[in-house]
Amino acid sequence: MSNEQTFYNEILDYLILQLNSNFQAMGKKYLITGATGELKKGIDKLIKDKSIFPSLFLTVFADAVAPLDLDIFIVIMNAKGLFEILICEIKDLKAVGLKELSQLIGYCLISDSKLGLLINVDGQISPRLTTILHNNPDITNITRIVGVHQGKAKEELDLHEHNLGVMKWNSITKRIEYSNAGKISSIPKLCELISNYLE
Amino acid sequence: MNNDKAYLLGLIIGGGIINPTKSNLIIVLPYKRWGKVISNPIRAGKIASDILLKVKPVFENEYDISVTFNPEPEWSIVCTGNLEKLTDDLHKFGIVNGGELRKNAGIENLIPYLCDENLKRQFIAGLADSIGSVVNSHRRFNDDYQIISFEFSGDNFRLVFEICQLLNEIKCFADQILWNHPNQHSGNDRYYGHYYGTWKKGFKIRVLLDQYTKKGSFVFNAKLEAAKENIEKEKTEEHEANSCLDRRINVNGIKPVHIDEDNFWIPKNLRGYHFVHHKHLCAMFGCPYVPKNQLKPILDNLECYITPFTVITKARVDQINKILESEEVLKNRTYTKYEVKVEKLIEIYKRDPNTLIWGNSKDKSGYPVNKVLQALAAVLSMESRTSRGKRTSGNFIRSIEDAISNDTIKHINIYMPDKLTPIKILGTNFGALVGPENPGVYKKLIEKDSEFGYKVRAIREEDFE
Repeated sequence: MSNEQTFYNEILDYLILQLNSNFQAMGKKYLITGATGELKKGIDKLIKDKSIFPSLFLTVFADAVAPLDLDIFIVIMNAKGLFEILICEIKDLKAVGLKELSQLIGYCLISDSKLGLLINVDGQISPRLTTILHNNPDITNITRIVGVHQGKAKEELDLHEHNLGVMKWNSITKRIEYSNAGKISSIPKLCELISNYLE
Repeated sequence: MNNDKAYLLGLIIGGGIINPTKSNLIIVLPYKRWGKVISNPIRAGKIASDILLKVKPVFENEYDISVTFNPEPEWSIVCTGNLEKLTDDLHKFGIVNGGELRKNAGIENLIPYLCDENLKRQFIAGLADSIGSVVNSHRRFNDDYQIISFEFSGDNFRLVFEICQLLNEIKCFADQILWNHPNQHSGNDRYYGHYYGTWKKGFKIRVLLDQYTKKGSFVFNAKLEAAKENIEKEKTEEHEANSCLDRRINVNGIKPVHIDEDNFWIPKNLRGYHFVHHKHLCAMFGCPYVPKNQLKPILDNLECYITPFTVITKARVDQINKILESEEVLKNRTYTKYEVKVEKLIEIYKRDPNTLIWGNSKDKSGYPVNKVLQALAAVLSMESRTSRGKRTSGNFIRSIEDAISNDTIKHINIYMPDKLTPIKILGTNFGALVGPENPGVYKKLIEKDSEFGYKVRAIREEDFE
C-alpha cells in the first residue's frame, strides 16, 4: 500500500462529514456516500450495500461509465435521484504540479464528473502550478462541448462543466486546508456548486 | 452557516475586537509566554504559518478579507478590507458587532445555526485556537491529568455558560468551570479583592486534554502539537471524562460570604447570592447537566458550609484594622490578648486538623485549628518576609515549630473577641483574621428565594442571642 493510500479513508470520512454538515446547514437533504477504488464497481457496490438509492440516473451512469481506478469518489444524490460525483485525487508529494492536476482533469472528463479535488497530503502546490492557476483561472473551470462527433446541430450541443480545486490534507490536525487555487476554493464553495447542480 | 464560518466565528468570539469604525478586525490570541518569539521561536514560526496557511484562506474565501498578523506585543490576526459581509453575519447571528466580542457577545442566537455536532466542533475549534490554553501548567493535581483551559476575561457569564453547553454537546465535558465570581476566586478570604488584590481573575472552562483531542478539534498545528506533548506526560491510560450529571460534587470546608457578592459588576441574576460550588452557579443558569440530587443536600445544610465572617484573611496590620472598623459586629468587639500554648495547638492539629477550638462542641462552633495555625504561620512568614505573596513556603507546621525553637513566635500575639467573631493574630506589620464556624447561628442568616438562590445576610448582634 502506498503512503497516500493510508489517508484515503480518513479523507473520505472527513469530506462526507463536512458535506453532510454544510448541506444540513443549507437546509438541503442529500444522500452522501463514497468509496475508494474503481468507480464502476464502486457504485455497484454502494447500490448493492444500500448505501445509495439506485436511481435510474445513477444506474444508467454506472452502466455507461468507463472503468476508472480512483483514489476517492463521493456520490451526492437528491431526493429525485439526481446526483453529482466528486472525484478526489490524493497525492503524498512534496508539491503537486500540472501533471497531477492533468490526471484529475482526465478522470473528470472520462467520467463526466463535474467536480474534482486534487488533495496533497502534508505537501504543497508547486509554485509553477500556483502561478498558472492564478493567472489562468479557467483551467479549473472547464466547459466541454459534447455531441460534436455525433453530428449534432450547433444548437443541440450540450455543454458539460468541470470544476476543480487544489487542497491539502493536514495529517496532524486531520483536516483539509485550502490553497485558494482553483474554482473550488473551499468546502462551502464546493457545497454551493453541488447544490446549484442538484436544484 | 457552514463549517468554515463556524470556525471563524469561534476564532472571532474568542479574541475578536472590532474597531468602532468597522474598518478592521483584530483577533487577539492571548498566548502570552507560550507563543513568545524570543522564548520559543519554533512555536512562533508555527503560529505564523497557521495564520497564513489556514486562517487566511478561509477568511479570504468567506468574507473577502485580507489577513496578516502581529507577533508582538501579543499574537494577533489582523483582518482588513471591507468588513460588511462579516458584520452582516455577526448581526444575523445576534453577535454584538463592536468592541471586544468575548466580553460582550452572546451566542444564544448563533447556536441554532450550529445545527449539528460537526459545526459545533468547528466553532469550538476556533475558540480552542484562540483562547484554549494548552500551557503545560494546566493540570488536575499532577501530570497525569492534562487540561485545556478555555479562558475568558470580563463579566460575560452568559457566554461562558453557553460555551460550556456546546462543549457538553460535543462530549467534551467540563472538568471544572472557574467562574469570575468572588466565591470562586476567594474561597477563604471575605475581603480579598475589596481592600487589596482582585478576585476578578477571569473565567476558565477546564476540559481534560485527552478528552478534548478525541472529541474536539484544533486547526492550529502549534496548538495540537503542544496538546500532544502535554498528553505524553500522562502516565496512565487515556482518561474518559464523565458528564456533569455523573460527577460527584465535593464541597470541602466552609467558605466565607464574600463582601463583594452584591457587587454591581456581578450580573443581576447572580448578584447578592452565595455559591458553594461551581455547579451551583451552573444551576442558577438553568444548566440541565447539574446533578441536582447532589447539590440540594448541600444547600439544605448551607449553614455548615458558610461563614458570614472570613475564613482566613492575611493582610497588613493597617488593612486588618480597616476591616475590623468596616462592619458593625466586628467594630463592637472587645479583644483580649490570649496566651496560647502553640505546641498544644500543634498537638491538636496532628490528632485531627479539622478540630474546632475555643468554641462550643455542643453547637459545633469554634475556630478550625488548621486555619488558626495556617494564619499563624502566614503572619510569621510575612513578618520574616519569606512568604511568596501571602502564601507560606514549605510546611506551615514546620515553620511554626522553627519559630518556637528560635523564639521568634513571641512577637506574634493572638487576640480573642468577646463573641464568636474572628480572632486577630498580629505581628508588628502583618496580621491575620480567622473566622469561627457556628452553624446554629449562621442558619438564621440564610434566605432562600428560589430553587438555587440562597442569600446570606450580614450577621447582627442579636443573632448571637
